[in-house]
Amino acid sequence: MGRNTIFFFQELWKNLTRNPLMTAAAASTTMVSLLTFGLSLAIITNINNIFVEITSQVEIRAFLKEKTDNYRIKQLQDEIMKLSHVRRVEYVSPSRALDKLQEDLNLSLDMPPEENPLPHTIVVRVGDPRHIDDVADRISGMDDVAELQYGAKILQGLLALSLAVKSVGYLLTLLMAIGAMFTIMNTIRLTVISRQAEIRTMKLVGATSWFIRWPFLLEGMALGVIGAVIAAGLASAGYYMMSTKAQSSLPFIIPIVDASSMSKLIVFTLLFAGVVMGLAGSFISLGRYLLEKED
Amino acid sequence: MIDFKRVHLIYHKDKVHALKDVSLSFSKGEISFLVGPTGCGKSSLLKMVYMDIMPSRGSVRVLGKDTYDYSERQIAHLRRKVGVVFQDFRLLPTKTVYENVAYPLHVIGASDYEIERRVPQVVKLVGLEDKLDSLPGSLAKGQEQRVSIARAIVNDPLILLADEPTGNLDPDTSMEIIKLLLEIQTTRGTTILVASHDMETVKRSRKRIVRIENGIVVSDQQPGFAHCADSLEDVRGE
Ligand SMILES: Nc1ncnc2c1ncn2[C@@H]1O[C@H](COP(=O)(O)OP(=O)(O)OP(=O)(O)O)[C@@H](O)[C@H]1O
Ligand SMILES: [Mg+2]
Repeated sequence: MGRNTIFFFQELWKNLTRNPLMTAAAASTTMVSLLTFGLSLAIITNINNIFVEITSQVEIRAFLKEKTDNYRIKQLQDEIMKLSHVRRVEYVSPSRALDKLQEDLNLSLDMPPEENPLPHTIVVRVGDPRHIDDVADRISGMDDVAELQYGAKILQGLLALSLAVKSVGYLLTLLMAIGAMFTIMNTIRLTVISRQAEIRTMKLVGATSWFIRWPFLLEGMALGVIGAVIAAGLASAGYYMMSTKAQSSLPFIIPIVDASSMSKLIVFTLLFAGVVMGLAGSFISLGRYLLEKED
Repeated sequence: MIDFKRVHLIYHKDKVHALKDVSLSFSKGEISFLVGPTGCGKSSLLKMVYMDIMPSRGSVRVLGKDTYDYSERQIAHLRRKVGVVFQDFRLLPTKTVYENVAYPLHVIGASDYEIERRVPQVVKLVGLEDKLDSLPGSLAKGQEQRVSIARAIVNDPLILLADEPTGNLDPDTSMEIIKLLLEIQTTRGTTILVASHDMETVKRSRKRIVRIENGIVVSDQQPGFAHCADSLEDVRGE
């Protein structure tokens, strides 16, 4: 750009304002396709989030040998905590387990502590559920651990399902992004075609390809940004309303991504996508016409 | 400065043999008129100088270098030193007279100060100072032509190629333009090629006249022999 930066921005401004209706049309098509992209992004993020929440609920319960003393229990807790991917370690004493059991089953067993059949239990939460098998192997190899219990089968099913849903979701989102890209490309191509003769003249008076290209690139970028800002605003507002409604009207709690972090994600992703697609779109649609000669 | 050596030009699309075995040399600071009936190849010859088209055979050398040896970038840089008054003007339709004339200055990265100084000066030279903010679409043909002339001379080109620069002007304005070109030639030492139909104006200028017919150079008269063109025509008429 160099010393012509100001000139290029003046050109951009003239090109955008010369035909406001055309600019508005171009920006709104861009906006609509970015909006679809943004919404599919919101949906896939939530689905992803639900799976992460569910799978991270899965815990490993390590039952210890009956005679394990408190010192050893503490030691084991520390050892487990040091394993990678372990997020939380909690010890549940037999008496607490019994209390909980009575509470859950809503009955009252009058049982002296010596007769309590429940074992010492260490409950382990793993950060990334995909590593749960690893962690379980390590724990079961430790001394004084009698038995392990965790929902391996369920977890594997959930992970597989999550992967499938995610793949489909990302594929759809990618398609939306490509759609937005083509929309921008076509929009810019129309401007380029309508200004083909001008482009030729510019070359004939000594303009380099880049000198001609910059105002078009800026135009594509501007359309992308305008479209992205509006789309991000609409998508964030829409998401805010839907998420509050969903939280208050559903009888059960589903882990919906909160509106503020979602709008951050949407704003950044859409702006980035808008800029990149605007630039790439105009670069690609311009390429052919910059090289073309009359004959 | 500009050398055509045994140049042939064939438009393959229409199989037109537009120029045949043309050898011509134009030296630095010289002004030459290319005349001849419509379709004889004047514009084609000029287009080869600014490398819009390339010879099919033979060689065209501009500033000492074969046009085929110019890279894309070098062509762009050469064109900044070659002012062209296009036969169809080729003004940028969305830009005002001022912006059209300023465009080549932006291309060479001139400063705002330079542009604001130079543009009004050149526009005044072609007598359009009251049209600075008009768009080409609102101008008469003759006025568009003058904008095109202003744009061609705005950054003091080494070579000026004018394709029918007086084609849409009345005899008086035509003579004014020719005088302007002659002035540029003498004061700036610019090498100038003018393609023209307008025999009257051309003859009155008493400069080199190259006559082309059917793509063939049929006569090449040095300055001071303008009257010969008449006698030649008389001979041909018989
Ligand atoms: N782009 C082109 N494609 C095919 N043929 C062309 C093209 N441009 C010119 N010609 C042909 O080449 C020949 C020379 O054309 P050119 O434009 O050089 O003539 P000219 O002397 O400038 O004519 P005029 O005085 O009308 O401007 C003509 O027969 C014309 O039809
Ligand atoms: Mg011509």
